[in-house]
Amino acid sequence: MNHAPSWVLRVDGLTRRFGAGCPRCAASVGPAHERSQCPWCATVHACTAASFTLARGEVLGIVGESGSGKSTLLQMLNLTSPADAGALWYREPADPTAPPVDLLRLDRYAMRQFRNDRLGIVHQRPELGLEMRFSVGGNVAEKLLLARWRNVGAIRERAAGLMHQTELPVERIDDAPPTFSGGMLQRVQIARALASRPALLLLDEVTSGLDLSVQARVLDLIRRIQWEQQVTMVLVSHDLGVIKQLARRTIVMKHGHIVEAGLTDQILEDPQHPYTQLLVSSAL
Amino acid sequence: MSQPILKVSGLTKTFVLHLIDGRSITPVADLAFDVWPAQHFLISGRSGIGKTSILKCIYRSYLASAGEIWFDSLLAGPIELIHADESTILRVREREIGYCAQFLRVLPRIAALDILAEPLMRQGATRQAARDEAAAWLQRLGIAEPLWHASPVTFSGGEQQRINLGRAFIAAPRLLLLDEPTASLDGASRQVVVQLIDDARRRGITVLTVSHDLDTLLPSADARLHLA
Repeated sequence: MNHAPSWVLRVDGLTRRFGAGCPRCAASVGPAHERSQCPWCATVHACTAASFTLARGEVLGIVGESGSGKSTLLQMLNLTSPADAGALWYREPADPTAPPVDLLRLDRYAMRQFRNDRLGIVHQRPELGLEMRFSVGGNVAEKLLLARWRNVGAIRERAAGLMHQTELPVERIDDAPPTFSGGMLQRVQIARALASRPALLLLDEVTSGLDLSVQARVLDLIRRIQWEQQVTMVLVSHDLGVIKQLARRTIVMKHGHIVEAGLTDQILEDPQHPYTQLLVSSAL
Repeated sequence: MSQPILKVSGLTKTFVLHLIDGRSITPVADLAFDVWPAQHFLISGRSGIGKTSILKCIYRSYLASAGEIWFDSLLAGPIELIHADESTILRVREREIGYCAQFLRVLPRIAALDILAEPLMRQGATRQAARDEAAAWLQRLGIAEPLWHASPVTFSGGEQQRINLGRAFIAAPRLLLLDEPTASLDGASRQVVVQLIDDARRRGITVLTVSHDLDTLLPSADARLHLA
């Protein structure tokens, strides 16, 4: 009998490779071979057969070194990178009786609409998530327009509300992003990502490169939003401290494979895989 | 009282240290015991004998290597904690199984009042109601009011331990796991711990304690397992 609360997202064998692959790939790449690129055909197996489920309001951390496949996995969840195999089942949290939908089988228009309406993403580099020529309010408004908001007054009111919620000075709603600090730009990205009240928020190394005190404020903000709005989140980080603060479940990736998955405290206190033990022992 | 709230059988925990030549350590081997509702069950034994490992296997901070741990959950029915899925464990932790570690670990910018309020808010209490109850608990634990809005990282060892205990007891889980709850406490504070355990049991809470402080805790225990 399964007692788990119903899932929002079920990732089933998600796979992404760059290259055609060859019959020798399977026996040549992965954690056991310490590489993700096939030495015979040069295909990069960025993410292989990733599977997990996510319940409403859960925060899942993804850790691993550079090149482990965590950002590729996140891009597939964001529907901005195609998958070569697998399924991405989504069940609308507002309507648990609705049948699950495989997001990878949607047509291009429906996929884009889903991304605009139900997904939010915060990138490590603000220039990837923001249009630097638009004002801060314009960046939030753009996300709302994509989600089919049409009333200008309502859009501006929502943008101001989100700035207030993310601790940004509302009087600077018409200022351009380059005039904001790094920590503030991350908050602008968070405001934009939350604009359409997404069912899933994706966070890609959101505090990398920020000063410690700024990092703490951004993490506190994410914690508060998660707490107040029960947003389901997937958080990619190479910093175990960040994962410990925010995620209650964690998966560990290496050379494109999930090598360990578990409760975050278990991953940190009783890591099973040799790579996870190395990762935990390397934490500052 | 028809069945144990916790039934442990064949519990074994082996740590495989991959970074030290794959060496293995087995602090817990083939352990079995039952804990009944509203009981205070005490596990004693010298330091390093595996007491904390037992609690962490029950809480699933450690993955047991073998055996079964059955918990009689009101939310989900009988659950085998070693193999239950993670979402179920998280739900059970929120409502039914509490764990008080030997040392307090908190973010250095959260006030004592909010640390105690958080478990209640997780259970659905409003912020104000949770903070009111947290304040009552801080008073009961003898934490001076000027400290309520400060982070406990600046507190003395004894004060930190009382915050640690308060956070565990305030949530009123059905099963409370206490790891050396009287460590770093003076005589009067140790007696407060005994009172907290007695009060909890009167409210139907089952308490499983590991400790070597038998002078303080043995008189309030209904059952004891001594590891040698």
